Amino acid sequence: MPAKKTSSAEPLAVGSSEYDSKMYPVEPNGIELMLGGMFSAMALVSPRRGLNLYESPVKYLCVSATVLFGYYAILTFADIYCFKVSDSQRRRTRTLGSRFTAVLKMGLGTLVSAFVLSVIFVLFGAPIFSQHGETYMAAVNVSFLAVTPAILTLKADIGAWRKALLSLQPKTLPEKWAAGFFWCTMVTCWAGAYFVPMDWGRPWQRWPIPIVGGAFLGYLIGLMFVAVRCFVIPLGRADFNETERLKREMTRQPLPGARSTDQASSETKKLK
Amino acid sequence: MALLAAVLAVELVGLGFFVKGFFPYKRSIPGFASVQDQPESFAGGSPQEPPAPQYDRLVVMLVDALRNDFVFGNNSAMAYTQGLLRDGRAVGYTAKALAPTVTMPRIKALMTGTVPNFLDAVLNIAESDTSSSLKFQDNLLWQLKNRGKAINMFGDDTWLRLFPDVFSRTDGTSSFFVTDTVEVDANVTRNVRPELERDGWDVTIFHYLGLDHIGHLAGPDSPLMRPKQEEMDHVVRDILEIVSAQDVKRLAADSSARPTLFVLLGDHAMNEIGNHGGNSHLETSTVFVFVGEGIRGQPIADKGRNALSALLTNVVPQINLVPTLALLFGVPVPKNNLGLPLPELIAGYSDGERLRLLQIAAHQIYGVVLANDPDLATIDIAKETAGDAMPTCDSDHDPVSMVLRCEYIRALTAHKRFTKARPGSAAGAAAAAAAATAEGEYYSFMGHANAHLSRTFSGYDLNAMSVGIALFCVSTMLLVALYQASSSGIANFKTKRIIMSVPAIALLVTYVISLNSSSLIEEEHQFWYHWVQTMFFLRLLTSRHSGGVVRTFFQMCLFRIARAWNQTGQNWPGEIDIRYYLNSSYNRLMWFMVLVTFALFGVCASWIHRSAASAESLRRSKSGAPSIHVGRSRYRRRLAYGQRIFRGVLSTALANALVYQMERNGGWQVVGLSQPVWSVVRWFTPSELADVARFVYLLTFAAALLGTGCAWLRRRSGVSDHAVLVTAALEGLVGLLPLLLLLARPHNIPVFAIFVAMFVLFFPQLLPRTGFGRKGSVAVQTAGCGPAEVCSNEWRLSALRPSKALVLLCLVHASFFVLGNSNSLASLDLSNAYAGVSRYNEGLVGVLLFTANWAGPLWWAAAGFATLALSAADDTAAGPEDGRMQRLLGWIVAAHLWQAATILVLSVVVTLMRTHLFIWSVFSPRYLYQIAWFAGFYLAAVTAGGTGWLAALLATK
Repeated sequence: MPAKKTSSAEPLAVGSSEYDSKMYPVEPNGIELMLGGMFSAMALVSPRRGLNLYESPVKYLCVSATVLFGYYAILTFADIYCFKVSDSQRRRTRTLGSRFTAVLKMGLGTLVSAFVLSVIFVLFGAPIFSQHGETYMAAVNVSFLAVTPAILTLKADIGAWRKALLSLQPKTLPEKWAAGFFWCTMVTCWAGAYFVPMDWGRPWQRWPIPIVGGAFLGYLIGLMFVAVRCFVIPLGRADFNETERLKREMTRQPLPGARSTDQASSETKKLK
Repeated sequence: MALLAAVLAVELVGLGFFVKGFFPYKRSIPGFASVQDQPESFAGGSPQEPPAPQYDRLVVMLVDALRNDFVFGNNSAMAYTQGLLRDGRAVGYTAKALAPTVTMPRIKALMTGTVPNFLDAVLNIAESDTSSSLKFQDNLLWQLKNRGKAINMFGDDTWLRLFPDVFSRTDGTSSFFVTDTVEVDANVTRNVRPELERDGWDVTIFHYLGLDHIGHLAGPDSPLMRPKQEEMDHVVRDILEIVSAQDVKRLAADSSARPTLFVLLGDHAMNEIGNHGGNSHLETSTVFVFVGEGIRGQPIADKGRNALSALLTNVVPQINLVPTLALLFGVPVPKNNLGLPLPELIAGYSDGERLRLLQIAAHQIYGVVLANDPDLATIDIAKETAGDAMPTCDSDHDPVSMVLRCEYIRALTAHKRFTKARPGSAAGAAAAAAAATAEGEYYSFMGHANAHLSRTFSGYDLNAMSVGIALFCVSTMLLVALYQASSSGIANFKTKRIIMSVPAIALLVTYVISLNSSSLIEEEHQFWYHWVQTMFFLRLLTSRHSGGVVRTFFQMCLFRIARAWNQTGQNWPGEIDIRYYLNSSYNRLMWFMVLVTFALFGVCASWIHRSAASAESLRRSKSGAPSIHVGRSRYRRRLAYGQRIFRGVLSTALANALVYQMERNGGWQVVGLSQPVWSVVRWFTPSELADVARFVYLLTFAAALLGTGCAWLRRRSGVSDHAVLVTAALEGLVGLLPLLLLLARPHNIPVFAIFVAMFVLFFPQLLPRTGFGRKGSVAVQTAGCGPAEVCSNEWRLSALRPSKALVLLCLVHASFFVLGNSNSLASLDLSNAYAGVSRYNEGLVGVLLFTANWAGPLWWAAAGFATLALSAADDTAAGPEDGRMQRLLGWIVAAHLWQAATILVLSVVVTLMRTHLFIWSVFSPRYLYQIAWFAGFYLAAVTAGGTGWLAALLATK
């Protein structure tokens, strides 16, 4: 039954008999999804004339990384990244200092993960003795797109990271969020490498442009994927629950837990 | 098993059909051109009268692999030849060769003017093929001989095979001992003076091989290269001096005599590491230099080093030599020629004569057009040009052959106009203009015909190809069924779940897609390097404990180093790699690395039995079985003996391989050993170098026998079946090394150490106990994973974890490229296929060639068998061996499924792209390599070798 599924995906909702807003302690916030699309587009389009991705890729990637950092910094500072915490009390009580610390942590975490990523790039074949700037800045960009969502939602909890990114266990919404961005970005970034050895002779085939381009493309796909998985599907379920509640109220039937098995099975058939 | 054999037989038959259809022997016009075939002249007179020859003697000096910059470049040592060109006494061109850039097809092209069949490249390697001779195909030499010229040939004996019964005096040299760079040329040069000074020759050919050998050995920047160029330059000067002195006398004595033409040319060139065979710019850019009475080039005032750089871009097709020489010597142009006469060389004729020559050449090319399009009508020259109006050709709508016919008629009409204008015209300018128009028309027609014909010149037998593809389909489907029926399977229909792991499916899909792209075929190594690291990375991510993470990270690092060893492919061929450093400034380091590698493998060899024994004792102490069987002590003593002998044999083989490498490549001097010390070392090994190699073969064979004997003894002395398998597998893995190292290029020897290290890192039980390996990983396992149920739950994404078999598959393919191979025929390493071979022997050299080039894949396949033995996972009730035999069969079926899918897709791709620009340069070599992978590697080495090995082990029971 769909209602059961929702409750297993949402551990916080288990046992709650009321179908009100408390079932979703966090509300999906569409703002950052739209902002994410906008900022990643901004990072791709050169903000200033004379800044050429082909001629000065490092400079360009620095600018795009700065734009991405600004985007995350604003959201982190306002504490609205990923989900609007329904406990608005907590948000109000957060001090300025703790907000700055959060932004700082996000930035540092991204830079460290960019270092790890650039080591991985080199292992996958990036030049070792040259183009360090390109490799590291590409890693910073990819890191902002793939890892920073996980940093912000999963915090410094290795177990949560493993669970979110590497397991098929049922996940909470923040975990789905992190995994969606991480895998979409990483897979297209990986696939972008296939364009490097092609003999088309295009300027965009130079290291690291296909990788970063792939990552941006994957991030946009990830945006849609995450929007559907964390936003549209739960909303649909919420609607479904809402109508079911109304129906039940109208027929004055007892709540699912109190029903007899016969009734429940007939109910299921009807719903189907 | 029998079923698998049947399926593979079907696949082999399919391969036969497809190859027969795809690589056909060329359809060529039979017979030889004669004077009667020539068109009637507009100028009146005898219609088939041959034009007066410009020369009556010819000296061809062919320098193998002579690249254009060796003569024209600013680093050339050929000062005399450069001087000739600079003074305008010679004409130089960059001659563009077509792939395959290997000697035999190039000679064929240079003498017949045809675009060669791809199969020629293969036959060039399997060089005894007699059907490739030009006895029955029209060629320049036959025409010259038919004219009564005496032809002598000195140098590469390929000519003697190609042109039996053509030469009067010969002295052949074999091209297959690549290590010799001095004697091959001395054997040619000693003939130059005596043979040229002797009377009674008309055509003399010298074919020098030393320059090519230097390229193969040490590349175009070798220190040997400049002295060789100087040597060639001296030969040029000697020849010209002798010949011009003779010409002065001859022309004075006989007024009908004509002067001598000298041609310096290369058959192909070489790429930046000195190999050839492919289609890259460097490999195909060779040289024509013509010197002779009446040849006037543009004198160049510039005396600087770059004076001749314009000639580097003065590109003409190599086959243009054929009509040019035929016309200059007044013989009919060979029937299948596609080349165009070189305008600068026939510029010495009057307008009328020159147009007549062009008419003859155009007529011959039109004959080829006719042969390729039976529907096309022959041209009745008088009728078609009667109207005297030049037709306009509709190149947009008419079929190409019709357009060509029309263009030919245009040219003929223009020619006729010129002949008509001549008698009456007082003004020579009008005649000259008419001549220029006609000449332009002839060249335009011949150029278009050449372009059209070289595109469509190879016929395919589509029926045979379709039969082949159908058989591939059948065998692929049967293999899918077989794999499904085998232990692992593809999908479980009961639970409706796919069993194949996600990485395996992704690998298969991406690989099949990559076969469609010519660049991903040229750069296939990039594909495998990417996938090896992806597999390792996924293993790292999904590894259960931090010991595994660390080991996998080290494997990734090692592989990153290995992939930087040899730069291959077409996109970045000149990239500096480790091989470059090791062969230049770090040569000494390289030899020390070689020494260390051999020492390391020596340690490995002595360590196998100890580690196996300790594993065995550990096992026994765990299971509580009594450690000494009294009745078996006899076998134990013998086993100890046998193992000692095995280790001794293996170490001796390694030592001999090392001595072979150091002697052959001069390593002992680089390392700094003095002559007496080295002669002491050599005193212990066979004195002949070839015997050292043979000794290694013998010892490897002895080691195989001893290993089987030891396995037999081991079983009798109460060692567990598992330990027998493990020891035998490790013995095989190390026992293969002397052979592979013997055949490897010296700079690749350390790569094997990397391979061994990568393999050992898969198995913590193989690592020394004290290290981080075994103990550490066990300890971290408990610390990293927490409560048991969290562990089992958390790692459900094991669908992403590639199995060792899958990583090994990637490594098998990647190691092929790591050692410097690629999908171009140029990268085939011929130099090591002759170790210990004193006489050319097709089968033996073929096996050695395969072993030398597939050394990496062979070793990793052996590593796969060792993995099978080492993995303790399925000790089924039927006993470890039966379980493993099952699993081995499963692997083999999977590998063949993979190969069948590849062959099927590749065949379809090749069939669809048969008119593609890159079909001969990219797709066909890839197909040949695919055949070698399937028939040589997967079928012969893995399937036959692997099951044979396991069967031998089982037979010791």
